[in-house]
Amino acid sequence: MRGIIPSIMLPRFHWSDITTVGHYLGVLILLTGALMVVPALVALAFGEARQGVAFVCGMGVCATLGSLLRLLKSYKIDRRRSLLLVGFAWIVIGVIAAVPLFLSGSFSSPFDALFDSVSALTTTGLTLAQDVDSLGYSQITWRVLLTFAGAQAVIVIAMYYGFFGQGAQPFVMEGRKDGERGRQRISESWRMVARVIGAFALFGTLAASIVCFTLGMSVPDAIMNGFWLAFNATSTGGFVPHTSDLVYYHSLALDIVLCISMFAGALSFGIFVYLRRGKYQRVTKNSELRTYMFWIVFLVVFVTFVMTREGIVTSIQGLLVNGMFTVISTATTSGMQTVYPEQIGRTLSDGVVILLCVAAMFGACAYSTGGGIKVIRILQVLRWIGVAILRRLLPSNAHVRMKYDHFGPQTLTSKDATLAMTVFILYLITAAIGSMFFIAHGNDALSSVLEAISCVSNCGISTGVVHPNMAFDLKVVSLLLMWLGRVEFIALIAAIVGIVLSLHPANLFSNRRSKLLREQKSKNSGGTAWRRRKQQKSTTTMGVLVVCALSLAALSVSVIPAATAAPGDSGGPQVSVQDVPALSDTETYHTVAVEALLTSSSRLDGKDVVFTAEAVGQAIIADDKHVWVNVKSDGAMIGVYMSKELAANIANYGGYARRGDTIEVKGTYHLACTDHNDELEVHADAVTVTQEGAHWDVAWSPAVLAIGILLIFVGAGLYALRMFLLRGRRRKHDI
Amino acid sequence: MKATIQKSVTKKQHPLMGMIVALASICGFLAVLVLVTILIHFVMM
Repeated sequence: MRGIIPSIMLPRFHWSDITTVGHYLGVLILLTGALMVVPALVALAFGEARQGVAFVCGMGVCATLGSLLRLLKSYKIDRRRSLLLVGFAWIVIGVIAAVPLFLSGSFSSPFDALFDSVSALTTTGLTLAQDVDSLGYSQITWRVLLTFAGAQAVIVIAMYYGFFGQGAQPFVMEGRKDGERGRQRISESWRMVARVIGAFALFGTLAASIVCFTLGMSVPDAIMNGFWLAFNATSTGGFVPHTSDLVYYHSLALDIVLCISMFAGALSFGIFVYLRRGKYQRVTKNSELRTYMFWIVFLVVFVTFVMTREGIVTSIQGLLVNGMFTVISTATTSGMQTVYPEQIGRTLSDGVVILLCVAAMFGACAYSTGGGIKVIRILQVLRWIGVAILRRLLPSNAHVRMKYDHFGPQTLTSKDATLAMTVFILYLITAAIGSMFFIAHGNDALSSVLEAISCVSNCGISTGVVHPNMAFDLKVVSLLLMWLGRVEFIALIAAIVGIVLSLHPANLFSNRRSKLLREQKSKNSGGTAWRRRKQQKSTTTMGVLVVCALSLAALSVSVIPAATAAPGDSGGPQVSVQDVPALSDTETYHTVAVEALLTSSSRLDGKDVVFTAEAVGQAIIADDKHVWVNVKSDGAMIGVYMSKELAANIANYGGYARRGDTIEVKGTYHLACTDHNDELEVHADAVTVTQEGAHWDVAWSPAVLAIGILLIFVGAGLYALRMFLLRGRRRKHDI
Repeated sequence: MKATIQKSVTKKQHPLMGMIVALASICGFLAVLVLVTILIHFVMM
């Protein structure tokens, strides 16, 4: 145990640290409440009464809690306190942001709503919504705004702490971080980041909205879809409000627009700063940018080679949509998918999936909205390996310096390399532990690894293993993975260890200055100092033991039930082949379920099939005479290519507060249709409406609205109280 | 020595120009990826 306990005193948090962090959390909560006005207005505009009431209640909770926390006494916000704030803000804001999501009724439990809000804030994009296609416009807008805010926060926090070493000096907001000057610089840098990222997001919104309009959407629908997709892509968030992800839109043009947005989000913020200043040489010389571009070209070459050789995807458009887009989406850690989740492992072979896991793990550039280890760290680790090799080869008195360019010439120091390797190893360990949890629940190994890496690197690409009906402990693990990956481990672990060590009342409530004085005296006295050192060591030992015990308990609670579960009851879609019954002589159509179409092998390719499903969303224009109708059954969605005459039979499409017509589709199944970007689809020969859809009014609760309004007034009252107390304190000070 | 943001030390161009250059560069890189994809496809076929 003596070897584990560091010889230096670990920092402990004092009550003053907690009140300061609480105060600033209150500020963040109030800002979150202010942001809720936007989805509330969207709910009002689109007639989503229940959602609007939910957001009013959410605003009330934010106003009350935020104002209450702001009553806490705040001290100077130094680096230690800001580390604590950063570590826990994601979860606290996630809890607050989940309130309107849960009240809206789209989630089966408060934890699922929390999962979604944390997924949005960490720009992951995974969702546990019961039915993504039935989410209201306001809920989707809220998710998008959370993703956008979280993405900017990532850049600002990375800049403030210099997470990537000395490389970003010319644009890092450093200087006096404490007190008013520190807060002023953070707000200045946040405004700058918001302007740049916001500009790209707005450009993407314009382009995506135009494309959506050409696909047959109405102007409001086109603008909303364009806004959601572009803002999510620029934030590398990856949330698409449809079960089949981007496949729903069946549009190569939209995929290209979103590629541009994803790149804009994944490149380092410093690149845009230098481009704005006209320093093009700084950009072209940047080692991280060059490495990233080379890496993406390599990925595209490899994936295209493998997919062409396998022969499933044969057209150039198919390779662009299924191959290139998937590579860009994963390498930028966006997670938007142009292949059905069930297809990962079929259209994309195991080798490609493994490469995508590596791409997601490596992540995007430093000081970007992307996740993962970050390219600069990979570069630093590889170069440090080069240094180690050179030191072995060269004489012992040789001085080896490894230089690279990261917004200026840099020399790789052992400090930078150590930090890079530490984060690299922590990512690997966390992904490995996460994979074991998924495997313990009966998921196959490759899917488990992909899901775990997707969570920890905040990528969001999924084979469908993460779904609303998965085990609760898996949901907890997934949430922890997303959280750890976003705060880059060290800040969070340091904060947790510090809190556990501080739980002793003597540490929490003692006067720090007198404590320091007592320690100084005890050094001189000897006898009592020995007893005090022993007490501190036992407290430190206890703290470490508590952390280890909690980790082991969490691990055993999760693994034991999963290990005793019957095989194959993981509940989620698996990467496996469904048995397809053979056709008898009299049958001309295979009767199949939609999920079977997505998971079947090439045996059904080119065969006639018949299935029943609900029409959702709207008809998407394919060409002059045909449209796409996306149909859904038991959580699986597929696109059906049909003539406009057949589509005219469908009167109702499923969505928020409406059930679409249930239709029976007879047509030809294509595993990879060369006419349509090698998409998996059905060409309909006949469409029959078996059950008409319906609209209904979503009931909203006057009690919830009343509580929300009351809480807003309470919050306003607390805010006024704080102003009154501050004024009184200033008057006393002046006297 | 901690650096701060440099305000107008060098001649700053219009922000829109920087964004246009960035977008053009990204589009150019995407075009390279498309060409690479087409090249690999034709080589393999």
